Amino acid sequence: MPTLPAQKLRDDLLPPAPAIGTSILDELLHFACEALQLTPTLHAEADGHYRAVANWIGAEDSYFFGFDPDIYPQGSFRIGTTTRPILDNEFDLDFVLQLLDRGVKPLVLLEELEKRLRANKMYAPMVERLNRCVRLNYANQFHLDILPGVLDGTGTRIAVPDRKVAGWKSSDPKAHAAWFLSRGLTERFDKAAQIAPLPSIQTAAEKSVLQRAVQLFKRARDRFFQANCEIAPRSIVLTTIAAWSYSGTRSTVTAIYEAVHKMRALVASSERPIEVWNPVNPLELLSEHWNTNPIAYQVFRRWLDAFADDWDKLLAAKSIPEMQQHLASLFGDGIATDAIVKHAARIDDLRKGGSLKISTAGGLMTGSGAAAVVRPNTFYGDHD
Amino acid sequence: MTSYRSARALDAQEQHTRLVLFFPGFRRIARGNPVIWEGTVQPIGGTTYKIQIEHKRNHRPLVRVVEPALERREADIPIPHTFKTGEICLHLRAEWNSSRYIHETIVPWTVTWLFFYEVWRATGQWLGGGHEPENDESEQLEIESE
Repeated sequence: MPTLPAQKLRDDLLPPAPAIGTSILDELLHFACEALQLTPTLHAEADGHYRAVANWIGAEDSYFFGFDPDIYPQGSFRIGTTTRPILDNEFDLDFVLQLLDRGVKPLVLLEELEKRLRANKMYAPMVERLNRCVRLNYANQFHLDILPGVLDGTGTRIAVPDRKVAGWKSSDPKAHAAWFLSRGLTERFDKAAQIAPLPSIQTAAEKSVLQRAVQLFKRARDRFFQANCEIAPRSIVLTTIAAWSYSGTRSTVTAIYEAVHKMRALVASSERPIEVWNPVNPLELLSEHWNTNPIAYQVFRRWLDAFADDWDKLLAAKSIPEMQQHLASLFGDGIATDAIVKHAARIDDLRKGGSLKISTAGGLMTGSGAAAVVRPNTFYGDHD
Repeated sequence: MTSYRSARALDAQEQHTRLVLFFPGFRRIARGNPVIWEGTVQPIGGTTYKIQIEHKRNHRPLVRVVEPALERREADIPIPHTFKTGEICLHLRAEWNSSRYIHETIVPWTVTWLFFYEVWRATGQWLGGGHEPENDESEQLEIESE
């Protein structure tokens, strides 16, 4: 069964990415990512909820008090790739409740966590039991998933209870996040404190290209699988493949292009589902669901083909209306239009600031070597 | 608003020399009065637009998009900032006179107009600013009063 190779595929095996319009596309994607962010208000609320829950679970009268509990964000919240839900659904925010190993049985851990949350009048009606975690539903805002795990003595690696197998599964979300962030060449994440502060809100401009690529992949996935979200490829799998494929390019357009084509090459190499492991935990198969659900894998392959096709069309787009059309098909009409409106506003600002110029070929540009500067004018128009 | 009326009027040859120097994609396709230039521009490096600039002495230059033809979003809603004769509206009357070079004004404004036209086609919003003249007859095509 093919697995993600330890080394990157050679970049020169890829067809070259077309260059036309990629700088505009990169800017449009930048604005699209901005629209996918958690707003500062939501971020502050999530932060407040998370701290309150952490205090409740870690309090002196809690079952977990003696386990030296440490609660920290994992997944997209930790690595800066949260993605606004398509409808007014709740954001998924994932947290780890890390404990010392006191010899407790896996299902007992889940039961005790649920019991502790139900003992709080506010949390009791919000509790939902899931396979590996306990969820708190903050209506119309978030799901807060708390995954209990015990340190297994190997760095940050934890064993997490799994109801389906009635046993432990290995996981290392901290190491995975550190790996992801290093792949994106950013080191902006603080070491988790006892209750780690959430990573501060990032604007899309501060995000790495890899973070943006992951946000966009997830958004496109959410749209494609809107009616079948139970078989959608997991975020952690997409995130891992994108980070593994990342070549260090500064263009989001190119990063996605490369990731999609490398994914397709890998997928095409076998009829069996590919295996995506946590690159920093050899015991953690992230793509387990593809082995147990062949339909999910088939649909993933279809999505990948459709995505690659859409991406090629986007790269070949010659006009802003064409870009709008393909961006809308991938990420939604609102996101696409909003990005173009913001881009146009920026061009207008450049014009007003006197730095918009025209090349000898009659193209908009900034910088040196222009044929003319765009001087002040007032588009006048009366059609009647 | 800046006034550009101090300098002397430029003749067609002066305009021509500078236009083709800075924008080699342009050529003169009609001499005399009016003179007509034709050339191509590529606002975002994608679609290439063939445009014509027609300049009659003492008149503001008229700019037409030859191809691809400009398209409406809806059949009964005109394209913003166009004249009903099909030319595009680039400036207020006071913003151009015969002392101004076409390559410094009309061409950059046309490229910028085409960019905002593409944005309008994609979004339905005209984001290039401009003047909505209502019934301001004085801004219609007319002989420049110098």
